[in-house]
Amino acid sequence: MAYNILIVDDSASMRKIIRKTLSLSGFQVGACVEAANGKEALEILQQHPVDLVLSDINMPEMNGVEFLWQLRQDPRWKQLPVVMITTETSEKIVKEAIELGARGYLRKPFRPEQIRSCLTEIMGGPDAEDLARNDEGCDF
Amino acid sequence: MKGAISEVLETMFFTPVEFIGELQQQPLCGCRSVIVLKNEKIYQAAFYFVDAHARMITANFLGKMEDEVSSDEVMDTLKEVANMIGGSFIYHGEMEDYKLGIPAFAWLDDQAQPNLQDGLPFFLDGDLFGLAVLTQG
Repeated sequence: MAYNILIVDDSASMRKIIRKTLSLSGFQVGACVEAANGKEALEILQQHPVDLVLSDINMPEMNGVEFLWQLRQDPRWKQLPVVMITTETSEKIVKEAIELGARGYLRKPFRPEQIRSCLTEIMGGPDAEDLARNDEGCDF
Repeated sequence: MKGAISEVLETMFFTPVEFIGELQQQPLCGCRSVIVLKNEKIYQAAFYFVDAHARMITANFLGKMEDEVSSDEVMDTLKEVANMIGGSFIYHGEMEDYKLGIPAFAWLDDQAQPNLQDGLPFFLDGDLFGLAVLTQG
């Protein structure tokens, strides 16, 4: 099954890298859309339903935690899987993201296999059990 | 800081730097990216790169040839460098409970040369590659 994905990061280069990593990693990507901050992401979601969101936290306009909170206020997106890909690692912020239902987080810098393992662990896949035996999955 | 710089440049930019090299006052004509680390105190971490090296790590990051990278891509990538090194520095416990600001970038002219003695220089193949400067306030 191919997943439609929304990548949210204020760095255009990082969005490119994540997109490229996804396509090279073997993770099944359908459509991939991008947003530069949480506000833009919410607008894009109105037009482009997705199966998974990968979001940074530190962004101008609307940060990743505020975005996650806004997302969960809408019944359409209450259960939408969101993975934080971020340099932000403070306990308080990680706890907030978990409480808002983030399904995982990857700390930047990351290796390509970490993205693949994390997403396969969350979304499932033929090798999900094998990957669960590794230590390469999400940090939650 | 050394660990943070090494982790980021090796993992995402395939650039294994060292912290031993010949320290002569060489021009760091190029650019600077900056990020603020905030808690009770405020620190600024600045990363200076020679223009050619900034283009090189941008090309490595994006999987392009060096002459294919645009100025906007260099700016964006170097901001992300500051973001990731700042984050790695905090994560590895050297500045626990600090939060990161939004990174900034500037091209430097000759008048804005940093003093190599004021920071942590790092080298690639023996040549000065960049300089990290951590200041308070």
